[in-house]
Amino acid sequence: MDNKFDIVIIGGGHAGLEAAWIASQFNLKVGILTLPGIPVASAPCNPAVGGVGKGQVVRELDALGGIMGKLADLSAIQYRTLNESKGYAVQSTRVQIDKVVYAENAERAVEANKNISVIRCKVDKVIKSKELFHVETSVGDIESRSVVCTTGTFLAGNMHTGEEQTAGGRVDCEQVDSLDSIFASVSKLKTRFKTGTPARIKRESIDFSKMESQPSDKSAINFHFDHDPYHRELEQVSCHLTRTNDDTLKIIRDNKERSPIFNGQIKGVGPRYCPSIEDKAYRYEEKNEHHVFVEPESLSLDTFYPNGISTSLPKEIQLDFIQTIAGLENAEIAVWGYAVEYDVVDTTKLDITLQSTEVPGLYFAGQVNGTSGYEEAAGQGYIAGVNAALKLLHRDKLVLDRNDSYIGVMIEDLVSNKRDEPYRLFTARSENRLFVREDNTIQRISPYRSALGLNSKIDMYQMFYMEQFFDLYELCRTYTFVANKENKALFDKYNFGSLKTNISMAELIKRSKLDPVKTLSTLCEEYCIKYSSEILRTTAITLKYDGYIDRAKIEQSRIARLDNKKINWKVLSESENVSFECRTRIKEIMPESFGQLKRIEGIRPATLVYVANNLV
Amino acid sequence: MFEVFDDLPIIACSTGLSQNAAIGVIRISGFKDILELQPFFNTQLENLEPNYVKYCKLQHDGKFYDDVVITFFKGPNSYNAENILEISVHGNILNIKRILNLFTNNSDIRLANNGEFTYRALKNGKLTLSQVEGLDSLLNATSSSMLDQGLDLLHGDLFKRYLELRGEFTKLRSNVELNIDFLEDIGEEQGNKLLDESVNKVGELIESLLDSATVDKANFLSPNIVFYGLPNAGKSSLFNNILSKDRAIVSDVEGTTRDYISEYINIDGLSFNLVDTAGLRETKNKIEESGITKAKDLISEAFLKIQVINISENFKKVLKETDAELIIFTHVDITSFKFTVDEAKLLEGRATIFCDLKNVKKSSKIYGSMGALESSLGPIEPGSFYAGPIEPIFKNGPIGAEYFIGPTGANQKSRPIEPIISHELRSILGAYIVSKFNNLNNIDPILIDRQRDLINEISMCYEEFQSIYQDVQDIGIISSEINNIDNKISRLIGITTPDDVLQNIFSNFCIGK
Repeated sequence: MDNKFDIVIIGGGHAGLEAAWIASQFNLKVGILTLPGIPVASAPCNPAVGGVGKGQVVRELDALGGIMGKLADLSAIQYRTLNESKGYAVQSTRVQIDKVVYAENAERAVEANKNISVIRCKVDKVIKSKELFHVETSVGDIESRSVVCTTGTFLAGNMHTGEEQTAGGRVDCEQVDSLDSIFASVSKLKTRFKTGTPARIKRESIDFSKMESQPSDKSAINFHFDHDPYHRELEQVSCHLTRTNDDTLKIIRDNKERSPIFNGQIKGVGPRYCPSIEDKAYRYEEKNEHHVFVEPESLSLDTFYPNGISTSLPKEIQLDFIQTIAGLENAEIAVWGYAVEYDVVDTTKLDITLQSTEVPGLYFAGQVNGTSGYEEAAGQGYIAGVNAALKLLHRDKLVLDRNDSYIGVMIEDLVSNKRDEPYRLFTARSENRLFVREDNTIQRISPYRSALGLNSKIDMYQMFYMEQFFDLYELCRTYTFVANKENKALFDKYNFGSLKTNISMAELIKRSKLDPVKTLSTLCEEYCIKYSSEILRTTAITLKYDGYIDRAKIEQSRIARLDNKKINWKVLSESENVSFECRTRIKEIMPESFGQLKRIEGIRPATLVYVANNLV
Repeated sequence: MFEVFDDLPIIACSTGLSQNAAIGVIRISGFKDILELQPFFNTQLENLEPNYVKYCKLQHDGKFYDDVVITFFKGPNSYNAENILEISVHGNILNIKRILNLFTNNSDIRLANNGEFTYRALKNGKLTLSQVEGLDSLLNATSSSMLDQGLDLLHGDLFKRYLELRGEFTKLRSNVELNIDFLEDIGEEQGNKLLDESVNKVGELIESLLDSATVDKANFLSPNIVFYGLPNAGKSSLFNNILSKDRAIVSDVEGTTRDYISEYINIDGLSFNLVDTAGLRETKNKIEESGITKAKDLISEAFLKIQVINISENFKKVLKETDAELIIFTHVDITSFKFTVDEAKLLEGRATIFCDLKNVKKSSKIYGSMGALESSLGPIEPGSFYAGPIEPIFKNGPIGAEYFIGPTGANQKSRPIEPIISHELRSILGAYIVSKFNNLNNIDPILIDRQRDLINEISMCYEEFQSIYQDVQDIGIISSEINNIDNKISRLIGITTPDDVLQNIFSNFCIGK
């Protein structure tokens, strides 16, 4: 076994894979240490990649030279464009993946990469002496110049299904010791986090005729730049929507004392935005109808993932309540739902490259940082991996601005704030939502990618793409429709509205009653201008939002003046003018600027007013 | 803003230095320990109980300065959360100045800047920005409304309305986010419903604030009641009559009042400014012309416009053009008259008073108009008055005085008009004015310019937002509009860059507050 590496990655999940993938592009020697028995980049929870905000992350990764988008396309069995009716700015792509194919492709990609070695083992200890890390594993000692830790829920993981408790990070493999015993000098959060997953249901026991079918969306666009946008590698299948009802929720409420979340057995904090069915039942007493999406896990498996009913109730209760749901009356369970509690790193002790300030050369990425979601994990994996590589090569670090990308938003949020619940990306976390879209990912990301100087196929593609984009963009801004008879006829022909005075093509595209993409496509066809559909699309959408984005920037700079003001959290946390609740939050999070204070959830306006007044 | 941002102790005379008075109050704020001030007093300051007054001698280096009464307010339980000592001294300006010098020359205490005591209260969280604005109102009020507003802001009632708006707005924002990030979980129908509800609720709050913020500020600060009309209509006589004193020169030469004259009158505890203007006519006389220009300005900003018309003249044109809500016909004794249907129509919707100035005019005295009016006409015969095609209605005017006629309607009954005597004219007019003013006040006026401007901006943005909300499905744009409004609401409640606002506010403050 090779036992000397430039970068060792502990954990072969989505964060670990992405870290290894980008680091290997710098011709560094990368080792992935992962537990035996599970494939690289497996999907232990919902079998989907993308989503609102997350779809942007997958595309950002793809434009940065990551691997997630490619793997997602190749294993996609159902596509969906989310928020399709809500305008172009907030649309996102999500695909259901065949989790078996996804992991197979990941394994294959890693195997084919000469710079990456995968070692199946358990890590017992990591020691740093001088500039080298010594990693003690179940298969011997390994030496590395830097280490990226992507251990997910495995640090001191503890699983719950009703009264049953098992040590481990996920149901299908062994346990790993707590963070303390492996990284003695790394700070972790005092509170543990909790996440959960629903039971998996066998295909033949489901009556799909009682559910609403959601077929794959033909117009959704692939993630990877080098794939035909509308090519489908695998057979496309449907997801199905059903709902909980009064009976479902009654069973759950009647068994409240048997729920580990509510009887005190689980102390970890779960994500509010992804509540278990118990959370929904106990917190929203009056609501009994909740969506349940029944999603296929793989074309080759007979298990389905019922999205929306994650639970840690005892097995017999899980079965009882699942069988009250329309279409699941005869459900048979393949794997029981469970919750897992795990240790989380204090991310405020990481720098903007996710490197530990306590142990330089050691990076953390993914769920171990208290995030949830494969995409969030992958985004962090990339940032940790690329920066570990750049540091070894004595090059400038790569930092994505939060105004340009969701990855940038996430990293800054992580390192500037202590987590008190699992972190998920929302579009609301970005101040620049109208700009950080899926369609313009290459405009946003290519400057960062080209700065890496890797000069591969993707870099050539992006250069060409940007030239095309600027050409068409400038054309739209400069081409003018003179208000003459001919153009009026043209406007009438395509229902573009009136043409009273001369207007530019850009102004026409911005008209609120028109669909910008369709309008530009029509015009290009009319004038025989040839551009790819992606270029057309992003140009039209960019023109549409230009004005809004500019205005938002002006407003933001005004706010930034206040946001950047330093505050003294110590004084605040003792001030009698701040409510007890807010003081507690301030003590936990230790905000250093007004902006950070404002971003703390649960801070009252009265407190903000008080602090703003104090900034004089 | 302030040249010095230090937190040295400051001193100032809080009662003003413009004239001698019995007592002057000097305040010292921001000393760390009361014992620092021991060298200036003959009493043991360590025994000084906070919030109790103490009589003692002000002295230094064996020299006696004044007999004083001191009160110690121990921080944080003081006006601005700092230690404050209030010294009541004899109010001679020289004495006060000498004492201020005593402290500044013999300790690290420095003279306070304008509003610096309050600035520290703001800084220490004793007051919110909106309360400081309230205090500004209170201290610099020139009208009772401004005083009320100041107290309102100080007690935070208006601030609560702002916080309520912000609260509802936050809900609206969450519902937008819900529609973007969690549409799948809640379903499109539920999402739209929540959003609609929020949009309406916020709209209602903004509208009610806008009502309060768009009141004509001049009406509250110095409500002007302006008499105007053609030369020699009798404006000045009425003016004098109401004031019960001769302030305006009365003569029957047209153009007698060339400038405007104003006097404060107090009606039911409210203060108004009664204005007599130059008669409006074409003139070549420069002085008179400028009087007329001023009159026109005053009229356009008036709280109450009163058109005065000499009934013996041809008033149809004047009636056609005037936008006054109250019309007083004078000289009703001189000539019999009748209203044509057209004229009556012109009086529709306005309050009208008929009065007689005969005796005033006859009197050669320039004063005593009140007496003159009191002894005016006996009952007026209806016949001589209302021989015209329509009968006058003696129905109640807006405030229920029978002297008003509302010249419309079909079923009127004739009744003699009582002669108008001055105290009645005053009480009728007074009641009318007070009722008008109270109606304005019912909507809780907001008078602070910064807040009025912001509420106007918020309302304009909101209108734009609503039109977008109705015809655009693009929630990205909707949320962008919302952020735009949100920033303004934040500024309204004082989450703002302080330098923008504070300079203005504190520059209004007197020293010592």
